Amino acid sequence: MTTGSRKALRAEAADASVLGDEAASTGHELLAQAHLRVDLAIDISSALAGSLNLRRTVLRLLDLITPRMADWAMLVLVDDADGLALHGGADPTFTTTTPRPFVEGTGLDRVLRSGHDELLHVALELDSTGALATMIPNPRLRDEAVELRPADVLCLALTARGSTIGALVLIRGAGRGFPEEEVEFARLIADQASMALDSARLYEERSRIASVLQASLRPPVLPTIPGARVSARFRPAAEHLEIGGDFYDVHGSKDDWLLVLGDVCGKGVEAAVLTGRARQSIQTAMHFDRRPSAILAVLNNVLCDDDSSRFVTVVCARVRPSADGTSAAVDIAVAGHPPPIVVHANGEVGQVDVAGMAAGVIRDVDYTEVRIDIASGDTLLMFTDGVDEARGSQGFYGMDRLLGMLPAYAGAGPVALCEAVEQSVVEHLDGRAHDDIALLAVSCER
Amino acid sequence: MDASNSTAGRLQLFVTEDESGSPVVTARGDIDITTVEQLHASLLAQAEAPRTPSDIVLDLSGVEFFGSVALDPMLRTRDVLSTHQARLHVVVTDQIHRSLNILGLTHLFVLHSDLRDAVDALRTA
Repeated sequence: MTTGSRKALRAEAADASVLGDEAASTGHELLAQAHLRVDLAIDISSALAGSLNLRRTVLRLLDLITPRMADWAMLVLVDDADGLALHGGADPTFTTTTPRPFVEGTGLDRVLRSGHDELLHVALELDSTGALATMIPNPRLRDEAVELRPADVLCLALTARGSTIGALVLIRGAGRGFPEEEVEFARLIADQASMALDSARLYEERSRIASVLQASLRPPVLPTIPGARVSARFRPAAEHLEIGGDFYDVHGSKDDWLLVLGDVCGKGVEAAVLTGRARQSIQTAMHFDRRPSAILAVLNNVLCDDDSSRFVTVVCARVRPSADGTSAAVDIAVAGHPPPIVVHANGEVGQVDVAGMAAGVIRDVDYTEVRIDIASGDTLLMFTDGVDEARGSQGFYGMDRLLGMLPAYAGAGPVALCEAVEQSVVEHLDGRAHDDIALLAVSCER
Repeated sequence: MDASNSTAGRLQLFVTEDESGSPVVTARGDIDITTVEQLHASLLAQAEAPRTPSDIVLDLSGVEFFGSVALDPMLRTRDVLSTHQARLHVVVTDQIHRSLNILGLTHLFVLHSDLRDAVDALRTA
């Protein structure tokens, strides 16, 4: 900002400031000042109430404070990483950070530690840099403040939920300061600002936590399996969080792979936590015993160990493609999950005959495991109940409809098969709400 | 008893008693993520009621959509009852029977195909 524009700002501020026009002595002037204060208080509370975006809240606050309450304002926010974020100054969009140790022993540090406001008188005749430096730990901001030649620097603690989250440093230019009643008014504004800033920060923190967790629960990128082709589709229920519900994973290496598709009972954060636990338990269990029945037994006991009555349904398929890619041995076990379907190359379609109890209900369950061989052109399709329980105007999608549409896709391969099933279910839904829909298919590479 | 009746949303719940005083919770409509909480409240209220522990009948014969979330309150109720050596009788449709079969949970409840069977079972128990 140029010197010229700063002068303009001062001139405007002198006309409209609600803070400490010491010369305002007539009743008329005092009344006008009181009006301005009320207006400002209302403006600030309404402007800050709606925002849950921290950056926007900071900008609004600075915009409201200058020039009506002060000629220059700097907002200090304590961040988690033991630093201080400095916002504002002559340019409200200016922002920088300072490590917390840099301010140790300064006036700002005192305010942040104690939560008590401080009003420092700045010696006008002498070099004021030292007095201002104790509240403004940044050279650029400090130089701006020095140039304004303030009489006082007011540092207000911003306190919310019992802890000091930052400070608001205010300066009025041209040798003016802050009389006592103006400090009180500034205190009120600071309290409102603290709450708004704290809410915005809390909200951003939560959003960040949610998005980090969400990223860890998102469906994985499918690996390339030598001698086999794999495809998956996931269509989350629109009205819920994109976490929880259905999941799938593909683990393994070389010629021994584990395909997992599951459904967690319920939705929301608790379901998401359970999804994460189930996926990790399966991944860990397979390092000890790769048989699907053994993996499900471990998963079941792990889930039984917590008190929640929630359960998980899982289909687990161990796929071992032959070296020439013409067949694969597949071992399958299910825990309360619909058994997978084999779509043979000749159009024959059948559901694998295997059953087992949902995981997480009763300890020490033995899971049965069946072995099937799929040949070139056959596809094994795993699905969640979001498919057969999809409900359109004509009722449920149902297993019959699913089994009925599949022969047409014999030999089409996993990608086309998953696409066709998803499309068929979506058409059946005809825009209606649905549960998570997940599909996972595998075939030998021809 | 009237307090536990609920007709809100797409799930209707009615609580009555059979001749021996055992509660019969009748559900009609859809049990899904949006309505399961009602079933939960209604079943648990009966299971935890301060009276002589008795079996409970859950009549699902009028349920059109039976989401797997319904198992959550059913399993909880079963757990509460089993501490008093009481059981949860469930009247199921073929569709619900198939769902329970896939979930591998048929043996955890006493299943009946109509309400008369369930009430008879209570009387002879």
